[in-house]
Amino acid sequence: MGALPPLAKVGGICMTRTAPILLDVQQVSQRYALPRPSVFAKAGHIQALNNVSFQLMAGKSMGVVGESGSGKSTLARLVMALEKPTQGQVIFKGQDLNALPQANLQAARSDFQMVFQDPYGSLDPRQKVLRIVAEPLHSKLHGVSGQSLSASDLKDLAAQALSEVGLRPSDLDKYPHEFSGGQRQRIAIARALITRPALIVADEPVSALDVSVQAQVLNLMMDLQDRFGLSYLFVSHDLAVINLMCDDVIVLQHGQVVEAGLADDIFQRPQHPYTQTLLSAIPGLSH
Amino acid sequence: MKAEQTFTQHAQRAFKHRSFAAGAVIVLLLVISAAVSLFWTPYPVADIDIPNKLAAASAQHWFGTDSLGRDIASLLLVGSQNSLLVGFIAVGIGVGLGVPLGLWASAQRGWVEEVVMRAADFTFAFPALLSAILLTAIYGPGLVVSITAIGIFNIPVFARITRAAANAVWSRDFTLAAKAAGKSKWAITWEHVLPNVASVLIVQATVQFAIAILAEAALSYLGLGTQPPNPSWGRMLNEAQSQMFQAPMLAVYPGIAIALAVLGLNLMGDGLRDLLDPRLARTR
Amino acid sequence: MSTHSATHPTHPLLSIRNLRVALPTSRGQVEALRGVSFEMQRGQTLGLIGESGCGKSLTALAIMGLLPNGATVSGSIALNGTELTALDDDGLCKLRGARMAMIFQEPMTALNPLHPIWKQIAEPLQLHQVMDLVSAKARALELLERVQLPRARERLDNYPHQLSGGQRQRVMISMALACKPDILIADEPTTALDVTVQKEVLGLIRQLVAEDGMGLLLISHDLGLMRDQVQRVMVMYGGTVVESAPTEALFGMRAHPYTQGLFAARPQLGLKRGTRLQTIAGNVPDIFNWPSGCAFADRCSYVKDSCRQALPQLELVPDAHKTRPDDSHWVRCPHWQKLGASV
Repeated sequence: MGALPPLAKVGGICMTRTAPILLDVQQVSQRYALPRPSVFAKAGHIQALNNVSFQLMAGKSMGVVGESGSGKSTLARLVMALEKPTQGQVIFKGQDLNALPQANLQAARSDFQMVFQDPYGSLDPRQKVLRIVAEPLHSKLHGVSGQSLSASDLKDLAAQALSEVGLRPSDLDKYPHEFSGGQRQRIAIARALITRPALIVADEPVSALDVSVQAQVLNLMMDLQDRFGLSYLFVSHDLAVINLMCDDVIVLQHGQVVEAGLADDIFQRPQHPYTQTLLSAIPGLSH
Repeated sequence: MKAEQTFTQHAQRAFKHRSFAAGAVIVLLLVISAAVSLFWTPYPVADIDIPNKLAAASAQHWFGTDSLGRDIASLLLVGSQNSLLVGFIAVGIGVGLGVPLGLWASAQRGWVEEVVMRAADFTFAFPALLSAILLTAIYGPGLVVSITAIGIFNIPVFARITRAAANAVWSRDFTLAAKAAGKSKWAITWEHVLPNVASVLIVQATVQFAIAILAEAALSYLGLGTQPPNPSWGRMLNEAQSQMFQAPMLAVYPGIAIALAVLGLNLMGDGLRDLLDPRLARTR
Repeated sequence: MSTHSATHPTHPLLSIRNLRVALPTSRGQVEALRGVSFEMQRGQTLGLIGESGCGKSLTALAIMGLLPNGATVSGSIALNGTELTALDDDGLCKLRGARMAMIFQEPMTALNPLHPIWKQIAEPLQLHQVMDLVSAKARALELLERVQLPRARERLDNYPHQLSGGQRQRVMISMALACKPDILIADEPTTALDVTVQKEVLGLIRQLVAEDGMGLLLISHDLGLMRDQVQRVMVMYGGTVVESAPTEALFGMRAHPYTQGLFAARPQLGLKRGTRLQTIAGNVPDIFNWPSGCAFADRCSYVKDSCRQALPQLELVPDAHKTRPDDSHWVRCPHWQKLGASV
């Protein structure tokens, strides 16, 4: 697949750039070395991502669709600057995240946060909810990034974050095992919200939840988006969820973007055979 | 409504566990003996009473006397101090040096992990007791040298087990979340990894404690550990050898003391493993 | 539901009556299944749908006799007329793998990582059909080819970790079908698989079940899956079946408030972006605190006092198109008519 044109020109419609570009992923590739099969053999490589590019506008949401091995989780980690790409740049609000000095990157982190798939693994079982939710603010506690917060400030902010996701301030004093899966995911969302980020990367945030709980969490995410003007980079294999949450979509297969564009276009008139296969494989759709 | 169980609730649950309860009682007995013996023993341990040597158990001497007329009960009590001291220091060395090494290896991965683990393998290649004997041959016998020798062999044990447990913690998403919040590897190790491996380390520490007591007893039996006049269960065993036919009980008492201490610690460790791990591993 | 004997003079393949299961917990025995009843005919495909804690997996384990130690079972489970609850472990062992088989959600943990796959497939054959190793291996190859495992002959000696998720699931299916059982229970067989692989594996299961005339009990949380795969769906909540109907009838009309909520909560491709999904108020009740009456009472918008007093009985939803008792639509709610069943 050749490189696809930037989103602004997809479908022949020139989208005027009134909204600023929040996230600009430019030709990102990621390669991992495999363990050597034997002492004398060369180590192999796995190409997790190959020349992936897209742009996300402020206030909009982008869906990343793919199955296992598509590279979607790797992409999420690269956007969050948790790993450095072997090639390409991740540009957030005009700054190349991997070229920033440590202190600047640290300051920039409060503007993008992540929600993980597993509600049981993404919260430290040994910490109380207060500490978990306030973790992204830790640098501000020590006055590293300019303003300094006191412990009681942290507690207030954490209580506020919890109430924004529908939990109670009294829950700050509890441990994760005292909550259900859906509630833990809400705690994870509160943690992601506490720094008022512009972007939240959500890696399969509802895949591990029951249908009725999933609906509650998705509604919450939509409410938060309306309220705070958030952008989501929503990674999922569930096309119906992506269609509900995202304006634009990229479809990943074996680390490459095989199709990109508006969600409505892609789901109603899929061009690439892989996208067509994905759509036809949705259970229950043929009726 | 309290969000977390109180200490008494934890204690109640712990004492319902048979292994833990039995082990804890024995260990408590050990600790009390050592504590009491600091202030009082039935007879001063240095007192020799040759006319009453090799006496059988009686009201005056609860466990009888040894070949020099020393009260065995007193010797056992003071010997327990020795055992506890060895246990604490040897395990302390192992934890103090081994755990940070394991945490470092796990946080860094790559060549650091390789070097640390191979160094641990290297140390394991030496039979512990023989190496302790070697050290005492070089530096002279005594309590300090034997504790150090035992302690050194605890380091790779804790390094290995810490690294394995820490690797499991690093693979969980909450460490990634901490990284996304901008925390450094060291901050994550201290705040997230260490608390989550603590239960494994506590259990291992009780096991190593028991091993340390056995090792010290073995060294003292060989005459390389605690030197006279300080009492030691191991040396009591050695001294009892020559009196095997006249007073066989002389060997039985310190033998039971050692066995009981080790049993108590192992039971407690077993119980702790059950009590600590499932609760922390409970996810649903 | 118990009036089928008139039209079916032989035993139904599987007959479950008032199955109750209590599990041992730190706070004593807790009732997890509160009276499940249904029947399965030869060659019929049934679906059990519900969310976490409803008891669907427990039902499957109860049928197979794989409940944890200390669980108490009451009620009747009859397979081909044989009462399973009356059998001891030896008796059940003879049936497991031979007459009833189960496939699980996570193929990596369901397969032994230390044995090559042919050996794992040969195991039920050696056990139940007393085959020798050579014939068992040959039969294993036949089975692997039947489940369309690519390059089966080369893969015979592979270990589970050398296969992909979908391939491992195929191995598990061939293990389950090795002795041609009468009933296959599939507990979330494709949840851990990619959606494209899911379609293939489910299609395979359906094909094999039809070829062998087996009964299939498919357990899932995915409504779309049910629509494609089974003839009849049973919705579980709070340890009982709350609604049971032929698949198309259920997708045409839901009578129980919980089923209505479940259907309404799904995100579907046709929805407009930003549409808020309909949620069911409240949370699934804790197994320790099950309400005495209808388990859904606390979350139901139409609850009446009578709902909390006793577990409601099953009521029949009349259907002009009903041709056989098998096609009946049952709902465990006395007020369903007043609710205005949703479409």
